[in-house]
Amino acid sequence: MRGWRSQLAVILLAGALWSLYPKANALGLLSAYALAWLILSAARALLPGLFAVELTSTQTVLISLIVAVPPLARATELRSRFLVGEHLEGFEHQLDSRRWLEQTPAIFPPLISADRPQTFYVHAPEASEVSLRVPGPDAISVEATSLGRGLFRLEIDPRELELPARAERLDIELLVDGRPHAREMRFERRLPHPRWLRPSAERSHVVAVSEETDTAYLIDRDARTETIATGDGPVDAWFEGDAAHPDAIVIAHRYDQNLSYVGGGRDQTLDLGCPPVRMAIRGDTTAVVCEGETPELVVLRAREIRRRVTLDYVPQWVALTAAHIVVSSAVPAALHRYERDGSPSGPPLQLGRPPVTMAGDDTTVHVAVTDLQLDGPPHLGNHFIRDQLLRVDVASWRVSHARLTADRTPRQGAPGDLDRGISPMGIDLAPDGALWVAFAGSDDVWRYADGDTLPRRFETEDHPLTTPISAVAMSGGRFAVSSATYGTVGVFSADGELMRLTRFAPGDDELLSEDQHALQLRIGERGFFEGTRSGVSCQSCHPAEASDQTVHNIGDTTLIATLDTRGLYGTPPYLRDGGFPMVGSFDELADTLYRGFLRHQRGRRVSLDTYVTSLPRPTPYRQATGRDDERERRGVEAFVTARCPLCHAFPAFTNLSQHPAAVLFGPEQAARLGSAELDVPTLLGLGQSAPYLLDGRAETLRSVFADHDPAARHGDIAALDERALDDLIYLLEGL
Amino acid sequence: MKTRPPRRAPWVAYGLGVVALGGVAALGLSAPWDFERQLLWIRGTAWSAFIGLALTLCVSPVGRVLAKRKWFKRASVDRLRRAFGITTAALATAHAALGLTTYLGDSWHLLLELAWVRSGLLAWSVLLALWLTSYPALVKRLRIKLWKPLHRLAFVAFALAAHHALISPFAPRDWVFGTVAVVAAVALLRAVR
Repeated sequence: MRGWRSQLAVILLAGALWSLYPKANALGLLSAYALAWLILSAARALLPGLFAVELTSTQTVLISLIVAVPPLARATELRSRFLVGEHLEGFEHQLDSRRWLEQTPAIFPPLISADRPQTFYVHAPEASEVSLRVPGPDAISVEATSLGRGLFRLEIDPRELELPARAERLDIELLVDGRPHAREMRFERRLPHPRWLRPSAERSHVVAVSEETDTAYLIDRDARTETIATGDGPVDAWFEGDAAHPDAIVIAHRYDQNLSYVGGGRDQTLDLGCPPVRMAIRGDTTAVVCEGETPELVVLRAREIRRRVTLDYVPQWVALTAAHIVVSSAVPAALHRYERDGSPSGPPLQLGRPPVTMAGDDTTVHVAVTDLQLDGPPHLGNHFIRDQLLRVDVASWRVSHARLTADRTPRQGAPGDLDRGISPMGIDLAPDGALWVAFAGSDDVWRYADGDTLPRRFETEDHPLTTPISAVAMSGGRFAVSSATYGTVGVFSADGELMRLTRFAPGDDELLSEDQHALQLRIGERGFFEGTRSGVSCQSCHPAEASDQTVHNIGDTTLIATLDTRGLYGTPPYLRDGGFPMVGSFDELADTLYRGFLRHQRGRRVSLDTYVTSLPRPTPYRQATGRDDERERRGVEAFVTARCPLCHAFPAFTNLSQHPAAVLFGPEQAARLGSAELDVPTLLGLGQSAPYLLDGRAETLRSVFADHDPAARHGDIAALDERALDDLIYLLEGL
Repeated sequence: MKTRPPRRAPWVAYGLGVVALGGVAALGLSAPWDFERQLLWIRGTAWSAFIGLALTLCVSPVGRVLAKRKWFKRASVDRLRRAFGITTAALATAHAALGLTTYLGDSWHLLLELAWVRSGLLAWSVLLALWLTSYPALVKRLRIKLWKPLHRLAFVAFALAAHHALISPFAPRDWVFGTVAVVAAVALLRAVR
């Protein structure tokens, strides 16, 4: 054996040995090679005669081919396991994202969404001026604010730029000290998404808003429609309904931070001074809840602000009864009661999991939740979800009734499968006492007549009304259903026949021929809301694509705080441990752990990935309220002094790496976390994503440093004085 | 061109190794934060070893071309390659020792658990085996006959080291790809006869 033949012999023997005991990783392959080398070395020393046999080239090739068959067959079979085991699955996505960040000047996030103001960060070391320009005949440059240390903040309102009506990629130029650098960004312009329908007093009309397209839709019981252009970021619309303006519509705008009164003969805009997230109107009282750095409940009467109540939680939903205002929150997962004038009224009513939606009548509020535990943390089974509707008696401030919704029909594929009542999204309390519920996860609408225990079910799956968000009773026994995913509103007769469907967005056929990216987004969005046969959907833990801000017992190993699914583009791998190379990989989880989705959908993995990564992170509150630039500069200085950019590198505030949990938080914490590796998360959106750390053990940012850094490896915080730490936290909260 | 004395070549490699180690030590000492200092030492020795391994793999193809043009003696090429290999293995050992005693601390169970740590461990194991079998006296004593199939594992070690770097937390990807590209390009010189 000489030269390449001895090498070939070692390789072939190694392959044969490996195929007998195949381990799909580099260690297995290398061990086989070492063993083969040892065997052949020993054989050559002990049996030299065996190696005196001379083979012709043809014989060598033939023998090699025969011996190579089993290992090659095994390798083909185990290829994907090898890629997963060696972190090579989806490696190209990770590589692209990391190189995007390492190529300065770098901008993050690499996604421009046409539907909202966005804050970008640019890393341009040594630069003194940076601006962004979208090339075109009337190109407009947006100047960035220097925060020092080569970091620039770029605040963009897409309405001020000349953005294309339809495109998947957008060429931009970063002008760094006058020198242009071309970059290609992902671009998203969403289709109309009419969500919650609000009825007029006589139930002759309903109104819904589409935050994505800044429009409101007015639909009457005969499905005649009117489209109304609104201000920036309409989040809710109600009929004013009072005696003076029965037909006026009130629209709450998140980014304009105001209420617009439209129609009814007296249009008016009322500055709220805070970004509204939801509103409710009853009689002459309007209750608006605002998020922001100082969340508020704003109570209005006759178009005048009567009271502003500062909240110590971030509100999500608001409902009005005859005597009270009820506000829901995720942290704590509870309801909060106020008198109609805004005075607090009693302690919060703990629910265990945050309300998904809420509606009120004279004396009660009806709330949809994914679990209920009145006296402690939510149930902690693996991915425990139990969709249910609660009736809360507001006067006595207790849950008077709870009914489970996730149910099965004879269509179940296997015992225990669920296919109805998954993910209730919209509740309407009709004047006749009936309760209407829309289930986005299972494409059905239920009507509970007053006193009935069993609902009447209407399916929307056969119409382009899948993923129903809202169902509202209309006069004459009719009802209307909205589908944000399909951009449709349907009016049904009392017996459940679709009378007329109104499309505010193109249908699937049109998208297939003209905008396949939008179609893929739609399929992905449907997949996001669609329930699995176990009754769990993505929406269950990520309401409105965000986070339910609680902890879940993932994999039955450890409690993990739910992540926000918005703003993920450009940050692979995903999950707290970086275990998923693509968002679409969750499709496998649905198939293996949750009995699969209700419907077969080809290419679901890719569409789910396309949809979720298209979601921009929420606009930072300070983009509207203003920032203290000088303080943010000091914050950046503190950030660098504490060596945070080692892992949370500019401009994404992550270097997309993973670290052993024990390295950062010590072996004891790591053992408790049950996760070997931790993904370095981006810090963008941090101010809106409490609680912090993998298991949500830190309620505040200060606590992350003060109480949860036992190994003193989560930044050199000791290098900061108290003022610098304050500045650092100010910076982080505004990212 | 004047041929260099054969025995001087290895000291170039050893000297570069010592300079690299000294530079990395000094760089680390300039960092005020313990953790950053440890990371600088780990990353510095890692890059020194990775570049050393790249040079080791480049010596033969380049040296062969130079030897063909009588610019270099073949024996010098072999000695230089061996010296770079030994230096690389020593730097990789320093990197592994620093990683195990500082970054990983007591968490040695992660050695096989995390893909990027595991491939680094495998690369170092290969280099260690090659280091030990780089001394003719020891090779003779161990009666190693299949020396080449063993030492061709240097390419495997390089692939593992590249994998280790690419999925590790800190290595700039373009640097890793640049180094791999240079080695791949130089390897093409083997085709030059």
